Amino acid sequence: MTKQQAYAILGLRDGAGEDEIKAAYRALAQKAQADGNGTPSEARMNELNAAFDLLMGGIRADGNDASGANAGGAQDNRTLFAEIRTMIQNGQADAALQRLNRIPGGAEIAEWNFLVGSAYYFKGWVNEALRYFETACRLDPNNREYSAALNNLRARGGGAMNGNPFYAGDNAYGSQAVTCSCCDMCAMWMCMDALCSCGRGC
Amino acid sequence: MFGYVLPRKSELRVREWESYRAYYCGLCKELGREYGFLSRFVLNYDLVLLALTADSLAGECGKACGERCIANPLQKHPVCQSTPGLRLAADGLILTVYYKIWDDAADEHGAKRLAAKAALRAAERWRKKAAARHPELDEALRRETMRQAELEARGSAVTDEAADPTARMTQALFEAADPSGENRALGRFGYFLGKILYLLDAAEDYDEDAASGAYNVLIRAGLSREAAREHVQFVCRMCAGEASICYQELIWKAHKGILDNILYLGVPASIEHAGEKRPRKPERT
Repeated sequence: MTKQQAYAILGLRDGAGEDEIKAAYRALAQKAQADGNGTPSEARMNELNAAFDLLMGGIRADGNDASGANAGGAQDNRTLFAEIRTMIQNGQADAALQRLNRIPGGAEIAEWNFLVGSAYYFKGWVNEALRYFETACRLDPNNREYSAALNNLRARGGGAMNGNPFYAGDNAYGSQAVTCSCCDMCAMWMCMDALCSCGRGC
Repeated sequence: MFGYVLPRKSELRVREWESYRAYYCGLCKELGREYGFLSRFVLNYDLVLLALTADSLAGECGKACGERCIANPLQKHPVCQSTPGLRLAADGLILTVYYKIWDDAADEHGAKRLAAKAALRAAERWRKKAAARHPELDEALRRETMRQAELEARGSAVTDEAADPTARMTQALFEAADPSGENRALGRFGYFLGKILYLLDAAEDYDEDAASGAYNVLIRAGLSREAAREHVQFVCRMCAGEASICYQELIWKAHKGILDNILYLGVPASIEHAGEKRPRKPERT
């Protein structure tokens, strides 16, 4: 794909700026989603992503030359991650995963792991989400957002369910306590039996 | 589906249990009316949840009348008269059964394959009728059945990936329970229930698949029997937790006691017994 073709895909004139590219990309991605009844066609999203990446890549390379490669790289990731976050929130988890997987060295970055985990979470792939949240927390143990996401999933893995009417306590492990209650029951019967042989006409 | 989403009978009120039974019998009668006598043999308990969900969201309480039944012709039982939820559950059941046979016809060999092909021809007439009423559901089930076959052929060892087609089929079934299509939480609720069904089934089939060499994602992932059971329980609990979040976002207008019981007691109990062979109907105690 040439730059001209990329501009054409996004419906822009040659040489349009960063803001125009982002606005056009966002509008077209949303349109693709609306056309596809909530799930945009993969071919169309690939085309849009490729055009976007090509043009933004060019702009970033120019920017890096001016401001130094390292500072530019960190700045790039921040904008890129913010965009990917928006994509995930808009329900485009698969497209977000594709873009994340194209970021070189992403696995070393805490936020990258968190975003991959979030995209999987939105897809409903909770076990994969858990793995990436764990890595995000290991790379950045002080980030509250990452640890909240991890702890929530872990609590549910332990049996926590929202709004459980059969468990009147705010213990996060509510339903597990319900399903384990046979142990409590046994203990209770043994105590009652020892105390007064209840149920046998004491 | 597989008979894992059942109520815990001992925790239901008597009228709730009767209402649940009336829905089960109502589904059986609905199948008989729409698809003929033979279709009633594919009846199972999982789809009762779909009927209750659809009717609850629509505020339809269902009306039970005493009727006789071929399983017990002497005594009259309360049977729920046809409701939109029961009609959807009957169509959904027919479509899921059809695609199950479709998949078997491609998978099995020898005599079993011939039997599946013969059954498929017979079931084609049923499918046409159900698909005419729910074309998008038919399309989703066909697409996901093919995805399942593809990932099995590839030998996927990722639990989330392997369970995804079944989860999406269940999602499509639940989305059909809300024709306005605005309730994202309902589809996601179905998605997680479907994932639980798939994983519990994989855990239950572990020994059988290990012996026959059939595809099983837990074996592919290199898990021992015990590790597989623990893994399935953990992932299923996460899914049940996610399902409960969606459940709380929806407005349930009827059958709330039964639905609460199934989600908060029945499903965790099935997860607790992951990997064990057990009767696929509500406990009798």
